[in-house]
Amino acid sequence: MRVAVAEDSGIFRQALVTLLTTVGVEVTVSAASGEELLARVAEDPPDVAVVDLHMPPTHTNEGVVAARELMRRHPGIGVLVLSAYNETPQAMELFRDQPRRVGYLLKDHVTDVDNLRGALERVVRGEVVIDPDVVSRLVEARHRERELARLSGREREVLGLMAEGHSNAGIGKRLHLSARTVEDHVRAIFTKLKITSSGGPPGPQDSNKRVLAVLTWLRAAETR
Amino acid sequence: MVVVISAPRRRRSPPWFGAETRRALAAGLAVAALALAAGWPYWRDHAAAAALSLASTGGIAVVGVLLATGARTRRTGLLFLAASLSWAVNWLASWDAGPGPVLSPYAQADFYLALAVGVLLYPAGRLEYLADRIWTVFACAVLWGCPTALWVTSRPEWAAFRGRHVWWPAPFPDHAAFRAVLEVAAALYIVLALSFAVVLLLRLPRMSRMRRAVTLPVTVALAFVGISAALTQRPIMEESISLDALLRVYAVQGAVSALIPFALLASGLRIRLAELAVAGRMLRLTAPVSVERIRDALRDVLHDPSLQLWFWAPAEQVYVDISGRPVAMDAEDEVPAGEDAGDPAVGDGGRWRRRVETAAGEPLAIVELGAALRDHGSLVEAALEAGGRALETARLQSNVQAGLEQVRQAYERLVRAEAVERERLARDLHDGAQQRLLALGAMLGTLEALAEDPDVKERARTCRAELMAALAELRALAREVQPALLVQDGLGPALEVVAERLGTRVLLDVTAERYSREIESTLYSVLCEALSYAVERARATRVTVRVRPDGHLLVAEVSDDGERPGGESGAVPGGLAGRIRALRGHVEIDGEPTRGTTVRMVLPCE
Repeated sequence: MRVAVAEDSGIFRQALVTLLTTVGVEVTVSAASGEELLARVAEDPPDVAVVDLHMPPTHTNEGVVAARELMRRHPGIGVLVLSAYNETPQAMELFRDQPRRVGYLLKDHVTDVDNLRGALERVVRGEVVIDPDVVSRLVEARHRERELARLSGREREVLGLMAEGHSNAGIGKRLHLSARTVEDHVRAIFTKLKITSSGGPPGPQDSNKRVLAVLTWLRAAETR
Repeated sequence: MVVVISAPRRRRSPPWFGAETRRALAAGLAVAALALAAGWPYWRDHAAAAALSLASTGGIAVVGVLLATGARTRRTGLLFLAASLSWAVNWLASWDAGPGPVLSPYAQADFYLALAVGVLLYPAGRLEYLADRIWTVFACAVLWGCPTALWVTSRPEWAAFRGRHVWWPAPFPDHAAFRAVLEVAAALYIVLALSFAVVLLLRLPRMSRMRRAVTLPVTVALAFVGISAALTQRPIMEESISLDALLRVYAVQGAVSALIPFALLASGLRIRLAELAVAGRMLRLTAPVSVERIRDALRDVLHDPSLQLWFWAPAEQVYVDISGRPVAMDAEDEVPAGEDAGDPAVGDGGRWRRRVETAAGEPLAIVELGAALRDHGSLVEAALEAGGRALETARLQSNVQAGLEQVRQAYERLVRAEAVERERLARDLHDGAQQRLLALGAMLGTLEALAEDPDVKERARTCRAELMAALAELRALAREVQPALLVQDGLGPALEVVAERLGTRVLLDVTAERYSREIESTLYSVLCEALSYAVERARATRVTVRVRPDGHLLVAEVSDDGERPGGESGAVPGGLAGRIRALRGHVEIDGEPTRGTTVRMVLPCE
């Protein structure tokens, strides 16, 4: 697998490149900013770009801006955005429109090789990846507890995996369930929680699109 | 000018009968005596006319001397005194001998000229308008030209003087020319009187309301006197009239002139009444005393909405405004006592600053007034004296305010410094320590991947887990210090994260505008506190947070549907409310304790 890295902190960038190289990932570009990444990726497009969310000059959402620009210019490249903070506003911006080949991973989990490689592989496959910690924090937050109480334990597990971006097959594999059973669970969840997505009827949809619907529902903080 | 607030002095004589009054009465008697002597041949047979005429002449002299004691009416007063003297001299005509007959027309003309110019100078002490100046020049030409033309073209008997010892040069006596002079002069007098009435009318609209009220009686009286003079003069502008007829007209004119002192008396009464009214209203309007109330009362009674008031703060040795903020006051801006009378350099646009002192002579306050009030010094003085006690009380209040203001400014600096420090600390934690620990984590990850020995692998994993725990703690600390998102993206995104962590549905309506770091940091802390209160204590199921700019204000509202246990109203702890106040904002709490609450924080922002 060929990966490009954009990260402003030199010490972390170096450690990340070493880690990737060690596990047999080829690092084609190691850039210190989003602009540098965009410029250098054009000659030799990698499979995935790993981009830090907070980069100079404003340390706000440079990573998301670079990621969206990269996806626009090179629709084939997957993007994995890294964030040091378990926060969702920028991630929601990242998944806006057509989520595909995108991931949002906390830096803590990047240090776990299996985790990192798993996320990279899923992005390359075209899936959407959301850090399990981001999802579990949303699920654990109490603001949905009354509605979440209607779900069975198994349904809650399925909901979490859905929010992390797993497909029905992926969920089935993790929970040792048949695809049919997973589908039943998903439908039950959507009905019980009255989740709708992009104005469509409640119900399971494309696994990438439903990530957004589930996340939006979980975040609960509406912004006008 | 300096107003000293003090108790009234004890006087032996009534206040209206001071040295000035006595001097004026003496002058009036002297001028009346002079007129009596000058007109003796006529007065002998006309006692009633004498009484009226002498009273009127003396009255004008009295008013003249009284006016001459006031700084701004000095010139008017002197001119009135000159007018009364001229009128006395005018009666020399009755002797029908010596230079009296030649002087008499000049004296009569000067009488009207002095009265007219005196009124034009009243109350400003100078000829303010172009029309006034043009009329004055015209009047001088007519009133000195016509009497000259009379004696140049006539013999004395043509002009009512048949005495044997009349001194009358008569260089070019000519009947036709004399008749023409009489007709032209009569016409010019009427033109002069009418144009004077017009000039007086033109002045009225340009005057301030108070000044017009004071000037109106004098204006009406003098216009009437002028026109009646011109009209009564008309019948004697004939050849060879009798001296008796001439003197009778003089007696009528003198009697009519008595209107002028009466009119001035009426104006004076009016001013005095206005002063009393101002004093009474000041006392009413300033109770109970507050700094703003005094300023508003002064604005109200003096009809000057632009009036400003600053109090002296002795501890800080500065003047402070009504909210207690220090104001730089140039010493040169103050007009010292005595220099404000009729200074033409200070036009109507200029402001007028007046220092007010305590009885002990210490500075108390400075009042800044519109220039138009310069003409009403006595009124201003009356208002300030009536408000004196209130001013002293208000000064004490103002000093307390100034002290509070200093504390607030210190607090504001502290809040600002704290916000800066928080931001620096948070950035240090994020960019320095966190990145280093993350890099260490990645290195441990590499070691874990590379290690062949399962023991080493396990150790590396344990190390990494410990490291992640440390990172989590570091982040919690950084978030407490200052959430990175607040500095980076502002209140909206930072509050979104807070809302996500809460257990309640939160509707956020937060402006995307950015504000100063102390405003954002303070509002963030307070809103977090209010949100957690709504959820934890009030058990709200739905909370709305609204942050919107409103002009120069930033308004933040937290509304919830919860219940305040035991009727508590506080949703903002004292310390945080203090931070809001330090930034010159305030906190309001609306609603029933049992049916939802709205906490509103209002902060001024640039």
